[in-house]
Amino acid sequence: MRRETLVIGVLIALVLLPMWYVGIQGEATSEEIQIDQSVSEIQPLSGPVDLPNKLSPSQVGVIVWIALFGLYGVLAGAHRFMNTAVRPSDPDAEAVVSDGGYSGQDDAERELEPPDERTDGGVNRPSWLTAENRWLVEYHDATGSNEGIIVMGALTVLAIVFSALFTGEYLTLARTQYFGLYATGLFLSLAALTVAYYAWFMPHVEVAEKREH
Amino acid sequence: MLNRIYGWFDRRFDLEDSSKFLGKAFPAEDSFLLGEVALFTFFLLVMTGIFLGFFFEPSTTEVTYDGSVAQYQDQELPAAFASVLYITYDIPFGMFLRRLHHWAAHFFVASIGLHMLRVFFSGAYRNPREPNWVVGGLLALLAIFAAYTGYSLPFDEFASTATGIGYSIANSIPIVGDIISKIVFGGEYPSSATLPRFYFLHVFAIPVAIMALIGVHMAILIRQKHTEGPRSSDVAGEQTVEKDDDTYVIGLPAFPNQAAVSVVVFFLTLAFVSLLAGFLPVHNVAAYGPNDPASTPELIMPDWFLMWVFGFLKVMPSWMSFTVPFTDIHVSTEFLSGVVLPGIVFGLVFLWPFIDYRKDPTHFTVNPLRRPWQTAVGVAAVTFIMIASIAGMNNILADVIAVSTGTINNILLVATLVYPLVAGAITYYILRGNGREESQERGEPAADGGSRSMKPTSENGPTDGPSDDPTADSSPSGGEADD
Repeated sequence: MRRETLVIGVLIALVLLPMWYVGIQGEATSEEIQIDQSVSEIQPLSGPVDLPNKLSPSQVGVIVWIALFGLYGVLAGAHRFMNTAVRPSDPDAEAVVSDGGYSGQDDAERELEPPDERTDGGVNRPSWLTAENRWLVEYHDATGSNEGIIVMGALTVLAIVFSALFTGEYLTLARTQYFGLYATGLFLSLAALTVAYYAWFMPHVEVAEKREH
Repeated sequence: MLNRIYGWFDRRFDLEDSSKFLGKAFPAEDSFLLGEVALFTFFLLVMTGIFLGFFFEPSTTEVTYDGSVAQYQDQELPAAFASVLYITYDIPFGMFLRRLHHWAAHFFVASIGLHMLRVFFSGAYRNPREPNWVVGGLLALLAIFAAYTGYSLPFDEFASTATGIGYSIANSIPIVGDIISKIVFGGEYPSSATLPRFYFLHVFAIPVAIMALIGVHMAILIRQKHTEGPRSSDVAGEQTVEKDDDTYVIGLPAFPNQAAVSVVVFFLTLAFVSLLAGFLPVHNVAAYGPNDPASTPELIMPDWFLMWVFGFLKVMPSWMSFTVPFTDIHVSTEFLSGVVLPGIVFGLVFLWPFIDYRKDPTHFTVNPLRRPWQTAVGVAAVTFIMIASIAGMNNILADVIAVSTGTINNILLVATLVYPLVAGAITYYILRGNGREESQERGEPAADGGSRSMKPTSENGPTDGPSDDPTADSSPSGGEADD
């Protein structure tokens, strides 16, 4: 980390951390709400974890920012994985590009190895990727390995299990913590499923596009 | 079959020609996804809001509560409060969806804030994107106003007291305050007209305005295309795009690649909000009880994103109020701290792209370490808002360090005025040598007072964006003094 970044980080942390410390104090928890089970059979307050039953706005503020930074971290990790997973590990490896040739080779090599005779360079790709003002700059085909099929199969099963548990909770005690647990599991499974599909079964494509059109 | 359906639509809407739109380039930058988080949380707000709207009653009329919360059974409660109890404790998904709505609202405001900070520090608001910065600022304002109007709807003791702060501020505006407060709050707060009015604003007027502005925001983004991080090298392809040529944008095609990334953002956002909604309560109305004009809650505070305004209200000295000479117009500290100061803050936010103006369009983002004075202003602004927010929690701070709020207020007032200036000055000092090329492109003296002669082009080119390297110039499109 550069000195400038560190100094600026300290200047902000000197205010941010006290603000969060004061904000997280909030207010004391209150008595648990008693639900008359003769009126309603559901138990929204039941759950496996004992957590505060009341949060002040300042506590909510601290939590939401920490959660947002956490989400951003996970997003960045997933995004980078998606954009690197299907690329060859060797940066000089071949990447089919739209001129029918290959990047990662010098001109002499290209001349010795003429491009595919097909006008699209030998790449099967959707028609909309290129246009008058847009062309491919990188195209790595999907690997489509058995490993990907296994991962996607497992994640699909996981998503189905979580959605079944969620539905089951709705039909029985409707406990909020379990709703949260199952919904989180379901959405994480679906996110991971998309990441896996992207990594193993989608070609990695980059395009260049003229701005002024 | 699918081909026939596609053909039917294609003949009517010329889909084949429009499909070229699907290939538009989206630069693969992690921080560019924050806007999508805001977009998806708004979608979640609308979906959960529709569910809540089926059951919520925006009325203060007393009804006999016959729900499952034992402590309120057979009591006369405001219909709004009773209906929120019903949603929370008697409908199977109710508590979860209500919490989803609340946490999504907080995520919406926070992600807009973080998105704006990213745009600010990376210089992505500059020509030609000033209009979209202004639209984004309006969206932030509307998001805050939407949250404020929603905060008061359950008509519980805590929220209705906090909402009353807004009424006092509106009422404090000289000359027109009385009329404005009556229009927005439906008379003296809380009146029977307040909730229906806020409900209308919360579920219709503001969301429609937000949707319209999101549409404008996206349309401008599509038309101008996204900014792009500095490139590390020339980009080969059908034509070679030089690394410092920002007349082209390099990125993932909108479909399928960027669409898949957006799907991941969508599911991860839902996962995080669901986790919070499952395990952490927001605004426990049953614990607060219904609005009671005869009492004052022990703790009064607005939502966190308005805490800085609350801080102004708390630390501004009363001697600053005055009466305009030869008139009976009184300018109160409430007006100064609740309207004038926030007005200045938002005014500067809207004006910022015109203060840091560039004549030439630029499409690359910038390393903040390369922009001494802009980054210094940003650091000063962020620390200013944070200290003002601490001031909004002065009573908690006073309890924590066991001193009186009067003493704390004086310290916080000085800190609010001095620390941002100090932080900004230090930031400028340590970055002053880094912005030479940026200053020269603007035709300004170099930040460190050095020579104004241009470096060779090769030294002005961009390098890897994400690094902290201050030598990484990322504004290659300029070249001429612009103003």
